Amino acid sequence: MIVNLNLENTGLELKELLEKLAEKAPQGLVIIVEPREEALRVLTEAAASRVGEDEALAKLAGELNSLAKEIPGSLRRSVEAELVESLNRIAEYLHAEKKAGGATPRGLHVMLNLLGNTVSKVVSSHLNAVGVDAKWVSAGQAGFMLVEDYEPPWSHYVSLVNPDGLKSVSKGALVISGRACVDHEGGEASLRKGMGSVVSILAASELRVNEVYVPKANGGVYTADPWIADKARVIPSLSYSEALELSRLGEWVVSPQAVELAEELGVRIIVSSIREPFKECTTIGFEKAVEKQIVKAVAMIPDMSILTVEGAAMAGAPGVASAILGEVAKRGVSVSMISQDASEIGITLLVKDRDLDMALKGLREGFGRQRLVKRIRIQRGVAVISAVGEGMRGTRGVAARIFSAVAEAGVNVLAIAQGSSETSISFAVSMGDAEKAVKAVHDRVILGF
Amino acid sequence: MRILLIGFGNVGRAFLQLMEEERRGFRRLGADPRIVGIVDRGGATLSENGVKASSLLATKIARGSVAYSEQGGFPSMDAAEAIRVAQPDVTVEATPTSRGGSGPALRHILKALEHGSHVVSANKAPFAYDYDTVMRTALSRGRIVKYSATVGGGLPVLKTLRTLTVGDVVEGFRGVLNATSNYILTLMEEGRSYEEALRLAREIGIAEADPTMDVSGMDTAYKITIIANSIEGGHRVDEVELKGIEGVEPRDLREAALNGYSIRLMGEFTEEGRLRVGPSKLKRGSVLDVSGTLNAVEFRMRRAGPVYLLGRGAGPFETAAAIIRDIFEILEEEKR
Repeated sequence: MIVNLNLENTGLELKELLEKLAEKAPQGLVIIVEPREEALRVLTEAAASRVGEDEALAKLAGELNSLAKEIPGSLRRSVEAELVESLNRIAEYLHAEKKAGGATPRGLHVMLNLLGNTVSKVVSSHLNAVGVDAKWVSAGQAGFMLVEDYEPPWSHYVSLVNPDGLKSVSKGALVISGRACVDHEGGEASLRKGMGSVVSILAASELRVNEVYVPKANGGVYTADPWIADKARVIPSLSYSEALELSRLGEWVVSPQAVELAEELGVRIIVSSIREPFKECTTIGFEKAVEKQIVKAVAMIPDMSILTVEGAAMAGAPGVASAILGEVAKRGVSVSMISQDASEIGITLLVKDRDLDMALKGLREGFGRQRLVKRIRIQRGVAVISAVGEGMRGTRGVAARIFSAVAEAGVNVLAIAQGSSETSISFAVSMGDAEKAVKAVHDRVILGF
Repeated sequence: MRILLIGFGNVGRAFLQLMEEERRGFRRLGADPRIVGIVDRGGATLSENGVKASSLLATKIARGSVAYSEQGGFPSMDAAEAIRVAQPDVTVEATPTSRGGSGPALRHILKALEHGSHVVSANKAPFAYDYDTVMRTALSRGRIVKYSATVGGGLPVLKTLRTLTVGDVVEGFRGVLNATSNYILTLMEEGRSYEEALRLAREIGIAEADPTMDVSGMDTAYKITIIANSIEGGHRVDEVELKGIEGVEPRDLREAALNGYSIRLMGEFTEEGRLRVGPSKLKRGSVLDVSGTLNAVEFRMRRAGPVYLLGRGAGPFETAAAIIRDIFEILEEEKR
């Protein structure tokens, strides 16, 4: 059994979940652990001196203690001693980084890996406490390696280069610190968000296990955020392309790269609940036929901005879109959505609010002295809403139904985009209207079809 | 502009990455740089249209050399042959600095000049052992040799020196020129042993796995020899009086601190033309009393008096940036 235990999905109270996972240990259990993003963020901020050292250490201590608090008796005392040692080492590294005049790339990797490894140690101890022969290793020790591109778009990936570590699993449990990796020179390298789920898929494929279980606090992938749409329900199955769209849209059960890889390697992803970690709630992959449901889910990306680049000279000029996107990419800004008028005199880009200034700077520097771009208009405080479903492909009237529902809810649509795959339709609305739009699409389109 | 890169370690890879980012800057100067070949220990890869960095890195990781690239790999090709075949406009020498002599880097540089290529070097050894040979050859061939990446990287030591020596004379200089040893001494000031400080420096990636060049003072010796050569030529690194920081004890630092001093690994070129490196006491708070990974240099000018340069020492990206600045300068000089 392969389990991707991402604390972002499960929360910190793991005792009950790990006891249930332990039941499968006699058949061989591999658990890939990922710490919560918030803990990693706090550490990164502290290394860059944007958060005080004491404040960061207090937060990390709170996080680790919450994880360890349900480990019983004498075992807990030894785990607590290890936690103190790890925190002391993190404190030492933070101090050393400060003396170096700022975070060194290697120093940050070392600290993030140390935190990830400590979380994995605690998970392993939980399993030991219920009598499972569990040992933990870092992803690097398990044979995984970080692979980075040295040219745009500077992609960051992970590959299994030495599978021997994994193959030693026959009984008991192997806990892998899913983000603590090594680079091609064997130096510490921390994997980015989402790469732990890629490690899980690679491990499943190597061990010829066709499924990866992903326990989630509220069990399964929902048709919409239940906090917004009270009638939201669990989706029983998703195709890989639907899951890919949703994972890109912030329904972060597993990363888009993991979904893509799962399809390539023929691995199913089973999103389960923390109470019943081996019961299927949402199954991703191997869907025999597209379900009757035409639109399966609606998701929202908040805190976006619209950038509209306009100029009459842009009409008919080849390579304009590429030049505009190129200037934005050079500033390290990712564009979530693009929409262009048929007249070709305007291109609308959606970027994260926090990236807007960088994108603007890139466009102004790139086009400041040219006559091609006449105006750049911006609108902050925007959300992107996406309706996802493979059944939309070739079905007439879906877009009309979505936009009627949104219009009936009194929401003004600012920009629209649809990929040629027709698996999703995305549109931008102001943040104030976002929840209304999600609820309208959910209740009138998903439940109404 | 055709560029041949010799050496594909950390600096070579950082150079490739920065070249992608700096394309527009080159276009402004009317140049379209293409890296037409890379040479490493296993051979070479050559491509008329420019090599593709990401696949080369994957090849290097998987098979140990770029020579196994599907883009045009030549496993038995050495640097001299690659220079002959690729006919580069600029050859970038980025192999590791050797000890005890110029090593193969000198051969690479001379071969490149012989074939009419300008040279940009990040390798210190040829400029610390055979500076006069390199510069004479460049002059006789009418080619340009740049080596600002060998000293300071991010800190424009050699460029500043060129500016200062117009209308003035350098009477001497001294400086803290090695970030690793300075960082270790900074940690030792807190009472840590040399071994403990070195361990931490290694773990956070400031010290190399083998820190001998840094802590023995050899790296500083190379740098001061290169600076001295840039001033008057005729120096070799083996004339440097050398002492490293391995023998410095926390108590030495404590005692110095009690008397208002710091101990720093100082490289010096005296007014008598002597070169020396060793731990030296510096008045606390003085300009050269830098801590952590900072570098500091003081030029004593006959007319302008002391001139200081202060900044962060070099890493792979700072060194790669210095290489790119040198290529820009070559382009500008060629235009004149």
